[in-house]
Amino acid sequence: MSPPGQRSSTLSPARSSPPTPTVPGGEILRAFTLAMAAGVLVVDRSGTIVLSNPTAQRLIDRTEDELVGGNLGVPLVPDGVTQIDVALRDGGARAVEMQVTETMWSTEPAYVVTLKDVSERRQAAGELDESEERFQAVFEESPIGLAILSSDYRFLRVNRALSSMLGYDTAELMTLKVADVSRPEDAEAQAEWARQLVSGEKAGHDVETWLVTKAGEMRRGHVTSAVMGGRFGSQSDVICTVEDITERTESLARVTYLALHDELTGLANRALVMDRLHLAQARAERSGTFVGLLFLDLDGFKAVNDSLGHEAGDALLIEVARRLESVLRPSDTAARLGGDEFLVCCDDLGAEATGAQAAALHVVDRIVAVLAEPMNGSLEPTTASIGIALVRGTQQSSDTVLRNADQAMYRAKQQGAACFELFDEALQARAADRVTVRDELGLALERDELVVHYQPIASLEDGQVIGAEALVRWDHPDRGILLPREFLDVAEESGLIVPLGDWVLKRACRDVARWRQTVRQDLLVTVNASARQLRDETLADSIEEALSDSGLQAGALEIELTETMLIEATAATLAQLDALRTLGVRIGLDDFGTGYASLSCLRRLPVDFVKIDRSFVAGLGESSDDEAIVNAIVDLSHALGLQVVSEGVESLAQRRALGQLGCDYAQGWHFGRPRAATDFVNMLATAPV
Amino acid sequence: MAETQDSYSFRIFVTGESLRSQRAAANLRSLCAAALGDGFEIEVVDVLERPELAESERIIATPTVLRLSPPPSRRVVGDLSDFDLAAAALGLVQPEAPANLGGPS
Repeated sequence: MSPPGQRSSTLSPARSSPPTPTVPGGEILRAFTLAMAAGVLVVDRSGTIVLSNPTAQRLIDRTEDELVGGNLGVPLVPDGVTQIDVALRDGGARAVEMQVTETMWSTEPAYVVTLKDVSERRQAAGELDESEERFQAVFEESPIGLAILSSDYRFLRVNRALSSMLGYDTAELMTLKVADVSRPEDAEAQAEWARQLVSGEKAGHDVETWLVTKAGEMRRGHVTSAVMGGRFGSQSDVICTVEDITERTESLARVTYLALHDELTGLANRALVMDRLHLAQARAERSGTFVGLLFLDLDGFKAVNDSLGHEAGDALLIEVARRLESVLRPSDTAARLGGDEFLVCCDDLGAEATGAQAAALHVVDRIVAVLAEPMNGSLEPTTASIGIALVRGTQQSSDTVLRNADQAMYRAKQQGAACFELFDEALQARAADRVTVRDELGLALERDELVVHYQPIASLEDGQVIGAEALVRWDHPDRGILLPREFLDVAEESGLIVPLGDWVLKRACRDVARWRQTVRQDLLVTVNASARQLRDETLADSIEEALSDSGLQAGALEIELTETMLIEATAATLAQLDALRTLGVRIGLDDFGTGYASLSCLRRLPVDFVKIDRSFVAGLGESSDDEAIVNAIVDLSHALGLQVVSEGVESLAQRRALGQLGCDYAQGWHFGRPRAATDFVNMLATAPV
Repeated sequence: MAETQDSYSFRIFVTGESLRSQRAAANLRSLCAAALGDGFEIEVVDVLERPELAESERIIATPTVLRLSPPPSRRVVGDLSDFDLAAAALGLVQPEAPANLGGPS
């Protein structure tokens, strides 16, 4: 039979050290336990021993290996102290005084069991004289500070070690009270300790406290005290051992601090913030509330490092850390993960999902605002991409929450600088699928699985095919021909859109350059550009390269961009378009009417034609609103010198309506579906010219 | 903690026939009688008389109480005079006053 929680490997010789606790508190507890003069066991809730110090091993007459993992039993000490008996190896027994305090070990509640040998006290009084002599010698020579105190905490006797520790002569110290070498604020606690000892309420004390030296210096002391019980003095005298643990405490505190903080910024590090998140979730689990984790990645940090140097980069990180802390609540934790990545753990965002979201976004707002304030020196104000993950209690592990926040940040980053994004469950479900698509798409480029299909564009005046829109298709080995909507998002996210876009551009230019020589010399081709290409400012270079590789005239190429791409474009990216138009490449605005571009800003955009979105065309002949919109687009575009193309034209009625409204060109199933290059060129060859 | 139907069995380890040992055994009996009525058995083991049993159970100190049945087994050491504290640690229920067992401190 084995008690609950008892470990089976109690006597295994392989066990050389007790299990290592995972929280810093445990490490500190371990250090102090081992240093304590009293016998100490730390036992968990089931009574299983997780730590023993040498004194306890001696008192219990067992080795560390025999104790750790063994089961002491849950200690019951209702009156603060009780006596237990320890069975010794030689068959005898030893009376031991047991005291218990509750603590945390790792993340679990545990008990610190303090053991003191009291068997000696029960020895015959006849041995006292010899002991007294021995005691005198030990007292005087002890390297540990020792003192005997009167019941009102006056020094009756002190040894050399204590005097030198406190910077006094022995004689001088003996005229003082404990209060004279203590901080004033500790006086009350000391009086209470004295009262407890003298009244017999407590057998002893074991505390860490501040000591004040003669020079006024503060030292950290480990003080144990016990009533002497009349053996070497009066009934109520107290004996103290005093150990100077200043250095040990400082180095321990320093090590603990370093282990949990980012050296550069002083913020919490990953280990600490994850621990805080874990604790916050545990608290939130009880109250049914939400905890939030923000994942921040500074925008353009690499550029700062590269252009201004690492010192400037470090200064920026330190400033960002300072600002983050300035806007957080005391219960929130800001941390630096390394590089330009920061985490903010937001405790207790309330029990309402929408309220928690709003609270998290409020924190984001404050962060965005404080980061946008002017910087000192040569630094520009910075922005961050922020991912937000919310979790109710412990519904997800802290690691999952971190991953979710990271993923949301990644998505925010892809939207461009200074965006934020809330983690979305549905996205997670799709994410796995997207990873597969991304991997396969990378291979598809290498394996030549991509193809370009061409959809004819006709003149509405006479129905003549004047060109084609190049549309990418993925000839997937397992899934057949895939349309762009099944892989373009992934391509955008992963950056594969750039090589993919280049490939389509080159293929289309080559095909059309050949067809202009063989079938139709005035054939035009329309190619879609991606936001990424435009933003990276690689678009103009790619196009010029495709033109020169294929020998296609610039005037035969049309590039389509969406409204959103143009609205969000910077002056630099727009300059690319001007360069292309100078070459003779025509720029068109795709899906016109669906985005943000109002008719009024059309004037400012560097475009040659607009393509009316299929949703307006679908309503022609049925909805007078759509007709009015198309009419307005056509009139305004013409007034601005732009041509108008319609897409999604599926019926003769729609074609006629568009013709009457003055639209110039059209594409759609009515004129022909997108088809493979050979089919398209066959259609061209047989069509009447 | 609905552990009332099964019969309870305990073993208490003491050292010698001292007053302290006798008091510990007496405390356990009173506690069980209060919490369980008649449905319990207690075996008192003196570790000085039966060191091999103490060793096989890895008893470290006395008085130690083992709850042998029903499972889960439990083990406590020390002063059994506070019934609420001891009953909670041994996983017992006092049917007439279950609320008292919630928070011994």
